Amino acid sequence: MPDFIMKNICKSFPGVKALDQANFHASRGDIVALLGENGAGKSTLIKVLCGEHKPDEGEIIFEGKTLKIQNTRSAIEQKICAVYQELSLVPELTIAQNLFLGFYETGKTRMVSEKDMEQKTRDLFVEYGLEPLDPGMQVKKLSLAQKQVLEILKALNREGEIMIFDEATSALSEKYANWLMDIIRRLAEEKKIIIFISHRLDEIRKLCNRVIVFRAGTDVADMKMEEAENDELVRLMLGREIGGYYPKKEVFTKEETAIEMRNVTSGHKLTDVNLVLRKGEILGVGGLAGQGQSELFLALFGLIPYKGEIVINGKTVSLGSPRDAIKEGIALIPEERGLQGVVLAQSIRENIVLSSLNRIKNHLFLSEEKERRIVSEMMDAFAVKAESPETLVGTLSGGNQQKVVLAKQLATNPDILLMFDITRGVDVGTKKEMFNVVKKYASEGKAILFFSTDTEELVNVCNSIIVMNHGRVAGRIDDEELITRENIIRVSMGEKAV
Amino acid sequence: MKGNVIFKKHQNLIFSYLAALLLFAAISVYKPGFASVNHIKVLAQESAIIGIVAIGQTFVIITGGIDLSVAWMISIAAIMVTRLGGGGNEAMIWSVPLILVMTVFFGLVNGACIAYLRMPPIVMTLGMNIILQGGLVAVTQGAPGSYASDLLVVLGQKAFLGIPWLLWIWGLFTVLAMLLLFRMKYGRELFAIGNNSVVANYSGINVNAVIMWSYGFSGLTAGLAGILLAGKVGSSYLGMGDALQFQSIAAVAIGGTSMMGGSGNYLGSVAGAFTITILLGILAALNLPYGVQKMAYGLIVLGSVLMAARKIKNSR
Repeated sequence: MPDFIMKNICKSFPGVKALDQANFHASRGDIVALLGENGAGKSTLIKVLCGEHKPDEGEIIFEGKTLKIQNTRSAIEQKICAVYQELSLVPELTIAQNLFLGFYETGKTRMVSEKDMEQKTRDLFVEYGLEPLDPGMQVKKLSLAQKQVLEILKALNREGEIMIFDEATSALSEKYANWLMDIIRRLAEEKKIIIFISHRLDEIRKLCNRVIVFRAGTDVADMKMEEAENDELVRLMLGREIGGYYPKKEVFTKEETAIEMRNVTSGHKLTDVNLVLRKGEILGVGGLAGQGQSELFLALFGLIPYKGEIVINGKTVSLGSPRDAIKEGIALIPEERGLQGVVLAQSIRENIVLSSLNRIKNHLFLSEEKERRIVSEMMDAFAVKAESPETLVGTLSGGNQQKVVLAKQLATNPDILLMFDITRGVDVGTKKEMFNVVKKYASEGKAILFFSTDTEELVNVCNSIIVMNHGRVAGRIDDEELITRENIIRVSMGEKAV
Repeated sequence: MKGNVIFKKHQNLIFSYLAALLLFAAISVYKPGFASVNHIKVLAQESAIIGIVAIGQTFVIITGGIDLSVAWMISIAAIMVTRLGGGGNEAMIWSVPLILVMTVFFGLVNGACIAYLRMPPIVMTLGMNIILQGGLVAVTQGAPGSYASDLLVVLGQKAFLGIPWLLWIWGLFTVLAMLLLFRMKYGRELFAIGNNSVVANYSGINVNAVIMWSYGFSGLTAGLAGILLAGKVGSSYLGMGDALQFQSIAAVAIGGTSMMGGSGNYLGSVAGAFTITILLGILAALNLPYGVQKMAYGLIVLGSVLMAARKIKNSR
């Protein structure tokens, strides 16, 4: 009998059956991949396990004993620890305070010693082979990737027997993703139970020994990893065949320049960037993590001040705020969708028109008819799956939320699209839809600047690639034949693409 | 099904009105005179003043802020309208616009400091309230105001077609507020900012300007309420707006607008204004000592705010 069993778990939310007789099991030393589309029930299963949701039915058994999980704290006390897809760090607190939040051993004095906590933090960095950060630094000053690493460290620090990694690699660079995989292997050797959720099949294949596939709220397959074919897995996840993962590459690049950056500098993060983006072009932005890619996008959307010139249609523009950028026909799909992309507590309808309120105005008042037209047009264009336009965005699955972000930013009818990691934490089926959308917009002559943490995606989607290093454009690869993962790394190290 | 959806969406609103009605029915049984036509008119006039102050307060609270300077904006408006140019009917042609421009300006100063200089709303508006108080005391040298003009007395105390003038005015401003909140761009921006100002900024909304103007509106409605209050009372005195500060905030909270910002409806604040007036009426009718009345009033209002807040939480 397996050491850990979740049996016949059911969980309903108003209007949705998120889990329907779902099962899961694992033995000590297993690394089990949990696969499924967004909305298949993976996250709900994890939330049930971690005490965030109470199941309507079902049983959780660990080493022959039925677990009673009342809330998140009781889950952690029973050695169930998770790294969540959505970050759970407190931005205003320091690294050390976040790591020990709620779980600091105070002893009799009931006092927290900052010094002791910071020392323990340094030890943790060493123990897990990380470059040490200042434990007294506020978390809000960290990059997204650093925050994700910290999130992982926080879970590791709680020393669970059952460890869950929900999309933990989606914000990490390749280097840190490899670091995490080494740690996970080490945990498995220590006979812990690992549940690993990721949308990157190559990663799962490298790491996991078993795979359980979820579809429509229940488990549909349980296989040994080496016996599972990629196509088979994708078919199981979707319940239907899908063709090639990436759409066929075509070039829609025109002669005319859509936007040009001349000697753009911003703080220490962007230095002397020169860049030409043409109409219909899909220009990828590559390089190691944190080399100024994020700042490049922020500067182009008026979110950080810059020196130098940005030229659109032959005219020098001043991008002092997102409002200016939208007026100039620029749209940004931002990095953190729940914090920057959509208002989770508002409806799909309210979100979709939020960036384009001027388009639904009749003089003084908003026109319900115009609003309805734009909302239904955009919901169709991006195949947003929801009961109605009045559904709150916060209740949608991650992939559908991302579609609403795209719908909202593209409702402004932009000419220049800045897409920052649009497939982060999105399932295979939705990814494919998104690549098709990118291609469609390029074919309509829109200029697209495309960043992804997944180099594979850059290689398969973009017509040209710029590689960034230390805030500068280290090089540009235009020849279709030369766009490969190896060349992107070569260029970032200052060599030529071959 | 459809009716059910509508009920759910407006649950907070419906509960606010039910609460007001229930209170009213209960006291009417106990004190039959309470439900007489004349007394209802008095209650409506009281509510109108609270309700008008609550318009701007609702806007500000939807952004996640609060306006604690309405007390002395009201006093300033009331004192000025009875004293400028002798306080007669003719003087009002210029004194009323002047007063409103002034209170809007004070509101905009609040808003500018909160939005652009990142002052916490509680500190900023409380500071403004004290400055206004000091300023008014300095200028008037502590002397009370004067009598309201005939026209103001008509607006504040008389009725038109059987309905008090104050209700007509309140109704007009309620319609305007609802249009602004739910039919115009400004309202959408207000709600988006209250929920998540980062997303609002990324969506191209001029977040600072929208916040600044919400305080400007609050200045406008406080000024208007002060002018009308002078008419209702028949004269003006220092500190006559003090009670309205808490009442306007409580009306918004009882009406189901979240004190955290991001959701709400002015129609709820209207119900909240009625609830508070009825409550004060009940406490007065019970013949309790003044101190006990005050305490009971504070406790009951806090209790209903708590209940409203729990309802908001559950319906989310």
